[in-house]
Amino acid sequence: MNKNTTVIIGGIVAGSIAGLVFLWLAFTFYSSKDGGISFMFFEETILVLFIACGTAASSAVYFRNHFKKDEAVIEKHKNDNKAKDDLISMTLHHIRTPLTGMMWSTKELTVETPADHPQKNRIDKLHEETVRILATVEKLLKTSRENNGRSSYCFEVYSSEKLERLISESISKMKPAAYAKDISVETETSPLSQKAAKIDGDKIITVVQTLFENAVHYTKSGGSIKIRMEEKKDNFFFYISDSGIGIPLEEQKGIFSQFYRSTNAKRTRSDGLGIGLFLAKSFVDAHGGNITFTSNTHGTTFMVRIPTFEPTEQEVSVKPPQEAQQKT
Amino acid sequence: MENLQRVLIVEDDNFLGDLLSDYLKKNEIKTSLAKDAETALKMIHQDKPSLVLLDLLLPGMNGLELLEILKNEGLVPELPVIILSNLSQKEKIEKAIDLGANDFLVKASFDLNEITIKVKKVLGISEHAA
Repeated sequence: MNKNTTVIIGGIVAGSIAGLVFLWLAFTFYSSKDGGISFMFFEETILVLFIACGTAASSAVYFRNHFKKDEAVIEKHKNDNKAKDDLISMTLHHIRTPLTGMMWSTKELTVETPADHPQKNRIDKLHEETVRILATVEKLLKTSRENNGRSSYCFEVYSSEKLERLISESISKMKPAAYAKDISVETETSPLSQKAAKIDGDKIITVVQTLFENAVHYTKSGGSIKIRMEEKKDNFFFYISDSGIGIPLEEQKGIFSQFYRSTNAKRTRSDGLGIGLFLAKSFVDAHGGNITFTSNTHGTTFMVRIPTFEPTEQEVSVKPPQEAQQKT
Repeated sequence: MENLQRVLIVEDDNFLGDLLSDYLKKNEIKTSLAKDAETALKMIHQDKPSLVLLDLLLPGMNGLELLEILKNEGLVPELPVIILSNLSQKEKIEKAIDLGANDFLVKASFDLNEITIKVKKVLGISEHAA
């Protein structure tokens, strides 16, 4: 017999005994007062009532213990996850410092090594790889912060035009990567209104970069990327379509999960971490928007929606807060 | 003409501190190095540097606490302070700027040459002078 069954039976027995004791007391009291009146109805009702009370009390004890146990398990999992995330975050912070030094050193070496030096290519590659590892560490740190709810957002009021400019400038910086693969990039913007959105510019740039980089990675040479921005009702929409390999239907459900990589993605690019879309979704969600996609074997289209509103005069003229100089 | 200006680098990581110091020296900028905020404060009082390159995560007193002391002593903003940290949270940046920091650079986003250009600009050294 397990502990919970014991608790329930114990509760029923205790309830019944309490009921009988009460009945006996009541019977004695009323017998002495009224001279042995039948209390059949009273007796049964009270007995049932006390058995019910006992059962209810024992059930309450059981469920309380049961949920308490579940809560304890959930709490333990939370604490374990937090400890794991803290450890990862701390390790990444420690790695980032020497990596920064390596990045500074290799950059200096690439600049100082003459083009005809026999080791020039190797030195340049060393620098490229160091920068890549550092960028990966940065991404993992962002993921860790997002998981721990420690991501800090700095929302500013952006007019639709300013938001469009922010995205267009970010795309312009990344176009050379597409051109290097002989992928065409086409951008189209529908006329925008006077509405505004509350956004964190850095986070939106990360979202756009992730989607654009994915489009370049998963589109074959000679393909195309099309970008479209428009406003509909109280929303700003950003679409990015590629003529890439697409996401298999049965795998589409998991693409925003952390560390998830579709079989197509793994085949095309072995070094991805599967955190870009997870972060992009988290960032867009934090803006009250959403990110969706459609995909088939001819390509993929991602849609990012950011809610807009009619800004007050004060909101339009608000001065942006100071930001760190962090190249994107 | 010899540049008499001195940059105090407050950096607890030997590797980064030495790299910064060597690169600035190569650009004819004198440097001194402090590995914690307490030592940095003493050096600021004694040596009167022309600029402080300040890390935020330091053993003991942190960079923002040091900056606050400098502000309360009236040394900042007269003494330019550039924050050079891998922390990039908005609240840290805003706090640093509120306390009078001249600039906030994220280490991993800048190379030595770019940091040196920022330092020279604050010190008023033209690119071709050094």
